Amino acid sequence: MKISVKNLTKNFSSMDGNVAALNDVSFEIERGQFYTLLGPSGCGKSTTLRCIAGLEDPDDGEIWLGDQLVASRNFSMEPNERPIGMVFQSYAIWPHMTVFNNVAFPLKHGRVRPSRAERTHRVMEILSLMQMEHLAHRPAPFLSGGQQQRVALARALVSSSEVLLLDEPLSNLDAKLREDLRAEIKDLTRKLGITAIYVTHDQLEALAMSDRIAVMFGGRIVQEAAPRDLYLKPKTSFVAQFVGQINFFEGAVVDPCPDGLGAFETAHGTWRCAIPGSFTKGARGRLAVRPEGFTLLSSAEAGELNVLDGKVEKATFLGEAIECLVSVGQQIVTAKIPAKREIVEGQQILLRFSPDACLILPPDTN
Amino acid sequence: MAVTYATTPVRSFQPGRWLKANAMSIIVIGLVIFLVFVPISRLLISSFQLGHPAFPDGWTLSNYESAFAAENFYVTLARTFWIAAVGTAISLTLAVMLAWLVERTDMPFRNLAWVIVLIPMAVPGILFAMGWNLLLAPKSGAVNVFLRDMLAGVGLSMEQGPINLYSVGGLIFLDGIRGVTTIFLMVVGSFRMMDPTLEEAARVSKAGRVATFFKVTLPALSPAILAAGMFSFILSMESFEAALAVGLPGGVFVLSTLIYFTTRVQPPPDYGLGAVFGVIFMVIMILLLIGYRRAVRHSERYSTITGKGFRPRIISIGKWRYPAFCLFLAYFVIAVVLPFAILLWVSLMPSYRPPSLDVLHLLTFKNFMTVFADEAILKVIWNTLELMLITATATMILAFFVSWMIVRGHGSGKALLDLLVFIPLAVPGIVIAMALLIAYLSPPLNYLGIYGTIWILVIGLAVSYLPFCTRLMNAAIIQIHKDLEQAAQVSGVTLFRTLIFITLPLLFPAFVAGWIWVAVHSLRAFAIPLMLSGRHNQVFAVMLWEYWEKSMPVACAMGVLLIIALIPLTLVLRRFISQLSRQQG
Repeated sequence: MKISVKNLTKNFSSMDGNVAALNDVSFEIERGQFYTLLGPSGCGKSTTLRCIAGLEDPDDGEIWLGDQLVASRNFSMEPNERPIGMVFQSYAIWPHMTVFNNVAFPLKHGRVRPSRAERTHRVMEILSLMQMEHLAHRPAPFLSGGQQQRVALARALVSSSEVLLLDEPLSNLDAKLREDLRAEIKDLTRKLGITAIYVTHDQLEALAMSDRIAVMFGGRIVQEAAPRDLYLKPKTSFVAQFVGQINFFEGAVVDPCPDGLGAFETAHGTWRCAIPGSFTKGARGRLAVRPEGFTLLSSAEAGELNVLDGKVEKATFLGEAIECLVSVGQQIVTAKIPAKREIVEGQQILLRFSPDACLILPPDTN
Repeated sequence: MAVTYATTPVRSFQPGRWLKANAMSIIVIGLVIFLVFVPISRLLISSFQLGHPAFPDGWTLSNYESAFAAENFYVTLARTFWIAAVGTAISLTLAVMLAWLVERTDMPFRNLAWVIVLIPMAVPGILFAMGWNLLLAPKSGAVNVFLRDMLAGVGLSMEQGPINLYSVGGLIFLDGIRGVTTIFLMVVGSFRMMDPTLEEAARVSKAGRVATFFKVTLPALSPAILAAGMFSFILSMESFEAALAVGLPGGVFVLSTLIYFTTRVQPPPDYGLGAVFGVIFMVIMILLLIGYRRAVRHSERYSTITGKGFRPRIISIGKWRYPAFCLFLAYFVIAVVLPFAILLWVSLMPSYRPPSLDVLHLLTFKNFMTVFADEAILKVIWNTLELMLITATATMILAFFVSWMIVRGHGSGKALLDLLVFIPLAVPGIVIAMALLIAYLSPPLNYLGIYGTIWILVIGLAVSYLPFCTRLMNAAIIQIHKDLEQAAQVSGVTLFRTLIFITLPLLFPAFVAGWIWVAVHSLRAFAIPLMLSGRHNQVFAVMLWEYWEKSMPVACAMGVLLIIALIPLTLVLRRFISQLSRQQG
């Protein structure tokens, strides 16, 4: 089911007057897409999801599920009338029921109530899909965190709604379990052809699972893109920082050179890279390089572009790489070096980045 | 008017949709208005009307004029305050002492002491007053008879006395003893939770034990003690049973008995004047409750209770350990043993005789036989059980919906409900009963035909228990995570079904505790049934009162049976509620 959200606006009244929780948020989700709302806490991502669920009413804007208008300025369909399933951060497993009864509840009391036999069949089917049949008659309080989250997922899917809403479903789980469930959720939604909206503040989760990601901040969508584009071509420093580690070097454009490699001057030298068309000569900006964009040079070689000279302040062995904090002039630069190179703290090193491993962003407006 | 929820959003006005979406809040708010607001406003109207409320003769201020012109009214008002004030002072002193002994000293048998303080709750106020009436009535009271015999031995002979319970002093005594349990339960927690370092700091600053208690411990706990005292004072102002059983024979009126006398005893009843007394009573209680709320509001600034799980310092009281426990025994004897013993004694006598060895041969179970053989009594027992079941169930179901709207809702409906269920707290039972009496005796509500049936009792009791029950349910609902309800709604389940199948089962323990509380209270309810019952809707406690005037030994037999039924229920209730508060704490 296709979902479109148009100009969604919502204000919360607080002690210092009205605060815009959502400010003109619009996006479209294609049928079967896995769409993620990513952002720090308080950015409005959960409010957006709750508006789609019908648990909150927008002040303005429209929400369409398929060709059905479910919320607008002066109309809001009850949550129980919307074709959705939802998974909560707190799992919200009803503690006074067994696993089976938790999952069967939507079929027993919901809009569509199939016969008893049909109900049992569908519940057991979804439980076996999640490899949980053996737990069907266990009381809900006797489940681990991961099992509870699977039950919550089964409950959200059992009524075959075409839209699945997930509100930070993995944030209460430990790291290993989180990875397993990440893959499981993605496989399931793909297999069932469901349109999913996923809310998270964890950029790794977002990058790994999504077809598209909308990064939100201050009640607005600041960038919407596929995970790869978001990581490699962020439009602002905020997005660049939020989806992964990155180093910024403040400076100004010396030579825009729209067709080839331009020149950008920083406190550490003048570096060569592609300059976007919006930058003219003399424009201020920041050059951004991700930690894995650096390579280690064994000695200064003539003609190498974009070289930094620094001292290793701290080296942390991460297994697949070594994370180095390198002081370059007044600045600390983070670099990830392949683990086979040996690096000791206090060592002087030369770092290089290729012109296509960096990008030029506008100066921080904050 | 209607409660709007985050989950029932309809903004442009479409009447059909609006009705459907808000059906639940409309029904619940409507019901609460019907229960609380209608009788109270009818009472106000009646206070300005001439003649019988069913056939009013126009508007007047004469009811107010005659109330304020009567000297008797001012005397009664002053007396009511005086009895409540002195009675509360006595129970406050006693209760604080007992609470301190139980929680902070090395007194022996402390668990037993706890039970001793709780048992008086199982003795209905009317039976406590009747028991002491039998002991201390000026002429026939057993203790007085005994004392007169003694005094005659030394050459003093008197017609009656020497102790006269039918007096202001008598009422203060009964009131003071009755108030102890309530205050004890309200302050005992703060004694337990008080930060012991406050006292340790005083001790290392060279203050002695006694100085520490009076200069540090008591002042630090003063907000809790003050709050409990004010609450108990408010209850004493309303108290009716003792004033009826002991005050009326001596002509010692208080406000509640004055209302009863004006509308139910004197021929012909003066509903207009009764309504005026009721309105004045209500206003006084509202002012007192506002004062109480203000007093309680700032108490957290003292914050002697830090919530850290520590064991308070136990103070060794040395040679006073056993005398301290004797204080509990003395209290128990006065509050329970003596009144129960005399009721039991009289219930085993063919007619009233003061206890003595000479009449032991007269002992008989005849009165108990009478109780179980009398079809009228059996019918009343059935009525009472029916009343208990209906009242407990109906009140708790209503309280559940009301509380849910207060906790989860927002907007004008929530505020209105919060106010409506607070009002009955400020209205004494006797006034609620009179308001219902007037409302259901006169048009348009008399056409409902509720008056004279069990339903008017259900309404009266439900109204007066609603404030307690909604507070209990509020606390329970706050504990339930919103997500659990919303998870049901996004599964396509309607709000009503969500409440019935998710919320209600989750707060079942609190629901049961409230149910038992209402059951116990409606079993022993007296003031409201006395005002509202007639031939067809009589309940046990009221019939007992009728027998008191007709055949005292049978009344005593009924009283003994009632107390025996209430003791286990009270202890079960106490256990349930303390478990609940531990879970939630």
